[in-house]
Amino acid sequence: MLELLTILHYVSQAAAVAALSLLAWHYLKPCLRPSQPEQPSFERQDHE
Amino acid sequence: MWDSERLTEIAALAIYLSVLLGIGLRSARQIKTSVDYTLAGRNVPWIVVLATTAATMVGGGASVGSVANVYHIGLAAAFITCAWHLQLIFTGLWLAPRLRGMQLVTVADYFEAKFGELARRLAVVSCLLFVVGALVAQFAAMGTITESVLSLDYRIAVLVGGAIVVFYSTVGGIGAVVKTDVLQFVILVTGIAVAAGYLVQHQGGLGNMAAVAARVDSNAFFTDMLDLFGPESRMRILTLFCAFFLGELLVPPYAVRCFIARDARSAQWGVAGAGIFLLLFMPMATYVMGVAARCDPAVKAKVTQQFHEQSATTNPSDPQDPPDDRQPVARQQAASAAAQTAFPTLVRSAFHPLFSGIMIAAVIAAVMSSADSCLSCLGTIVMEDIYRPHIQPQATDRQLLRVAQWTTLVAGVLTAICACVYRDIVAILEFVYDFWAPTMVIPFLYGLFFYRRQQIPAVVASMLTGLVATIVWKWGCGSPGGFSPALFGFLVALGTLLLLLPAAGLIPTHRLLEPGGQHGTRNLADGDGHA
Repeated sequence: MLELLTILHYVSQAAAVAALSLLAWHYLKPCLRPSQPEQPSFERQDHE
Repeated sequence: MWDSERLTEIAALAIYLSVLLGIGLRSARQIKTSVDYTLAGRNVPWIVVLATTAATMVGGGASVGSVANVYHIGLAAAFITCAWHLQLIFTGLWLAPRLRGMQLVTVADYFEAKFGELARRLAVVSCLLFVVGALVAQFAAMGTITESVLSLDYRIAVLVGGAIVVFYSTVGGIGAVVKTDVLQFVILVTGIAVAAGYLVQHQGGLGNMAAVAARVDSNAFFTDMLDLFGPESRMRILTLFCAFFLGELLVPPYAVRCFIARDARSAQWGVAGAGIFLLLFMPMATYVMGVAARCDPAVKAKVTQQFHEQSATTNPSDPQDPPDDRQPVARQQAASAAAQTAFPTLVRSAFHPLFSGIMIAAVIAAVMSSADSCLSCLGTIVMEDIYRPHIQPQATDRQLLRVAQWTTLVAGVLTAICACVYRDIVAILEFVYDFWAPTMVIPFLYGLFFYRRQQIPAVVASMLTGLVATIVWKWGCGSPGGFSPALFGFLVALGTLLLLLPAAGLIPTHRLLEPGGQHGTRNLADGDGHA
């Protein structure tokens, strides 16, 4: 049980790093492409 | 006077709350229509759906409450919370894409489209009951946590925290809620992950921690931190697991996460991704913190002190008196309540004041992200399910937007006042959960997987009998044998459905049982809402 819990602890830490990295990539991606307009992608772009 | 550590914590919290207000103001400028306000334009990508769903899922109960429960009953507490996350995975993989494809605005729209007007009205009542109750509970949790962590007055904490949530939810709608959820997700995950990693490293590994925790025997009802079931019976653990799975299935705050996604795939992987992430992350992180709390002498001293205070309150008899039958239960309740101080005391004891300030902000963030989602849902329900169909069917989009904003403001203020008066979080949440599963879960699943139009009367009858059975079992019979009213109502509803299904075609039809309804779901994808 202890070995399993230790592995799960490291899996838990890896999951946190992966989720935060994916989120960071989502918000940094537009900044890394200067030709793209800088808008958070979940906002509507066609209000008109 | 506050010492420098307390000032650092309050400064970290003040900075965080200021950022939330800034996000609310910024989001307000992007609100043009009721669609923007209630559904963020239905254009949220999957990773943002994941963050907002996870932030909504993790409230005070899943953070401070779970650490306290691990401290109190061990690994079983972490195991039970897996049911919440499995429920999200199930919702994401199988329900979210179908719901997103239906272009719904509220949960009641689904019931109208599938089962007719009567089912819609029952759904509106259930949704209102759930979001109002959950909102009061989250505001009460915000006050309780701030009071215990920062020693601020409970009412001031509720009113200040509530005012900030109400402000950004009112001016920025679901867009502001989603953006603040992302910030809250980052703070929460970073804080908890760093804390759990540091504690394991600092204390020489999980095995060493479990051994030290086993030697500490304060008011413990168990000593083996590696025992999956701890001091509880297997039946109780499994019953709680089922109740946790069903109790929040498709509740409005999660259902809205399906509706706002950019497309069916974003809804599917956003919600399921949140479940997978939380399943991998939260149970283990809270377990580590609970075990670390048991190893910490400062936590032990604080919990013991709280235990004696709680015992004196709940059982004022002389400790030398011979024990009666109620004492073990009273001791359990006192120990459980005392364990709630484990998390804040651990944070103060184990970390630098700046990091403990961030952790405290993370916990407040967890509660706020659950509260703002309920508040946003409340505004949408009143606008879409009550005002538009029953009060002003010809309302313009501008009128609908104003109704949603005013509802959010007024309901937020009223529920914060309620939380000042009534602060028993567990009782409020029990009440809320008791009425959700028996009425709503079976029709939801039936409508998505087994739907047949001629069987609508059987489904609506199961909703009604589930509701009545829950009321009778809870208040009429007093829940004999400790059997949960939610589970009883759910089983009665299921039995009614199975009994009536073969005969449903023989029941004469009625306009209240006509699917599609008189109001019709607004097809927002076609641009309705921009009038």
